[in-house]
Amino acid sequence: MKKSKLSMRARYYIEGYSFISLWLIGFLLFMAIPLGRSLYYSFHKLQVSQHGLIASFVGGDHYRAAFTTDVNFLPLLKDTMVSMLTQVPLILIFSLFCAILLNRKLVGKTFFRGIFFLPVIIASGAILSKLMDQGAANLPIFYNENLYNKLNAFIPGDLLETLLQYAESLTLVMWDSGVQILIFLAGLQTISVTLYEAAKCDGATAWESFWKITFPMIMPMMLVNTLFSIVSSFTKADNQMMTHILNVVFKTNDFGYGSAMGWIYFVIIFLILGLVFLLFRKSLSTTEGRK
Amino acid sequence: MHKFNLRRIDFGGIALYVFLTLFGLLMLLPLVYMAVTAFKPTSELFLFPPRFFVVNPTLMNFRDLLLITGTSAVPFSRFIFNSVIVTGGIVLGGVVISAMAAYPLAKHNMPFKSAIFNMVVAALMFSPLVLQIPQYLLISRSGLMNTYWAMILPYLAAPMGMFLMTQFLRQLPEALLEAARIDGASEWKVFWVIVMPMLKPAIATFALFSFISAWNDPYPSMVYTTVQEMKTLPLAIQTISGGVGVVARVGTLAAASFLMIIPTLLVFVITQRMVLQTMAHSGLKE
Repeated sequence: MKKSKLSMRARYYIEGYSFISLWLIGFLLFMAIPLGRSLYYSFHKLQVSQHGLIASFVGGDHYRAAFTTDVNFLPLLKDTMVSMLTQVPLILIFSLFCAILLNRKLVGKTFFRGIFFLPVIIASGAILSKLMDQGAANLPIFYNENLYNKLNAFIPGDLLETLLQYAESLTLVMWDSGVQILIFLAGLQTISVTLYEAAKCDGATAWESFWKITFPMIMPMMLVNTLFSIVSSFTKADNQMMTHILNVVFKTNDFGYGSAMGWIYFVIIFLILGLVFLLFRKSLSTTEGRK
Repeated sequence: MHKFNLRRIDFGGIALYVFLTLFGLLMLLPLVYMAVTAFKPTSELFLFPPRFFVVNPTLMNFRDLLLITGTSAVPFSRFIFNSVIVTGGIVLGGVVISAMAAYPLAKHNMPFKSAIFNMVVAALMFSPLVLQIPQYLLISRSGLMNTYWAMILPYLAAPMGMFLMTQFLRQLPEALLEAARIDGASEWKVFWVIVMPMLKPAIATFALFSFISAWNDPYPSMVYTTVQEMKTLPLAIQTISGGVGVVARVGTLAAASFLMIIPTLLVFVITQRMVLQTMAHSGLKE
């Protein structure tokens, strides 16, 4: 009796695994093994010969080279950091704002939601980035009207320049926030109406109920969105760091060094994500308690 | 446009619509710009200061596109065919494989289940960059270069699809599955007859995302193919723009990009409602 039960369970496991197996094979072949490989390559110098690749161990040389000899690496790293730091908060604020607007009762809701998601569809293409090079992404008003000189009379130059940079990246920010808007919308819809009603009965204004109800309740989504925005800003195709690594790998054929840079980059992303988790931990635990 | 509800004046509502319309227009800007550019004659393409709207629309750019592609060794329809095969393969295969993997992960109890799921979550954060080099070596060494397989296989085991579907499946009722099992359905049958139909919204979402990225990504075709006949549409279009007479082809490029977006728009329109549904139920909250 016991034996047959065991074999039942074994069959159940086998069935389960046979469903996963295809995915697992693909995952191992094209993600896990390449990942291990690239870590291995990053410690080796690779040379192409008739017998294929010859790897000779160089230790941490590539990692050292990235920080000491490569003139492009550190400035590019700084640039990607800065653009991430400026864009992610803007994306979060903008998408939360849009999500709140789109969550209200209005005619043509689906239509508007569709429009706000549209850039995700179009702008992810490499073709559009070509068009953006030709100026489609910058609002033409900023340079056409000679805005810089006009505003310079009121605002000091340094401040104005950063302000204009913000304004110029605004279109890009808006196009990047389609997915985040959807995630926020989903979050807003799970907040129960009774909370707002209770707050209203107690005489809370819309402003107060936003900060006391909406904001804390949306915190988990905020975390998801922050993570998502950071990852997507780091791995975007037009990211300069990515282009640099691709160039090193495919133009100069330096696999080892390219892998090392890829891993440095990856570790940095991971550290930042960890930091975000830490920052959100406290606010998340308070929301958990409220449920 | 139907913006204002005139029956009762509601200032908050009006402000809302004004805001949404403004933002919406900004969102539409790239699409409109591209469409407009595609119809501009050469004389208007290089006007200074640039003009946003077209005055004398023309189909010249589309004709040029046909001419350019007609002169190259490979007919343009071949690129379209390649793109359709590759994208179709990635979307269909990815959906089936991810759904099959998601089912036991969400509904079975078995060892290493959570380990596998954690691996998926971690994989979501990997930048594809670190993987590109070994993936390339793998493909080139296994002799898959210049085949459709090279462009399809690496993208089939998508962590994203798996994650979405597992999360979605988790909150579906167990009772249906139990009922089917008691009636003697095999796991395979349960999967196709019950799980797949229930997963529909998640499938639609994942299909949309994977379609967008597969359809627009020139990278696999750039790296894994060396012959002209195997290039896909996005790469072919990039080549059009980067040829010798780069300046003269801005209009042609716009025409080509305009044509490329149409299938994506169609897919979006079809899947749109289900996508919004999944996001609301994606279980991110609970």
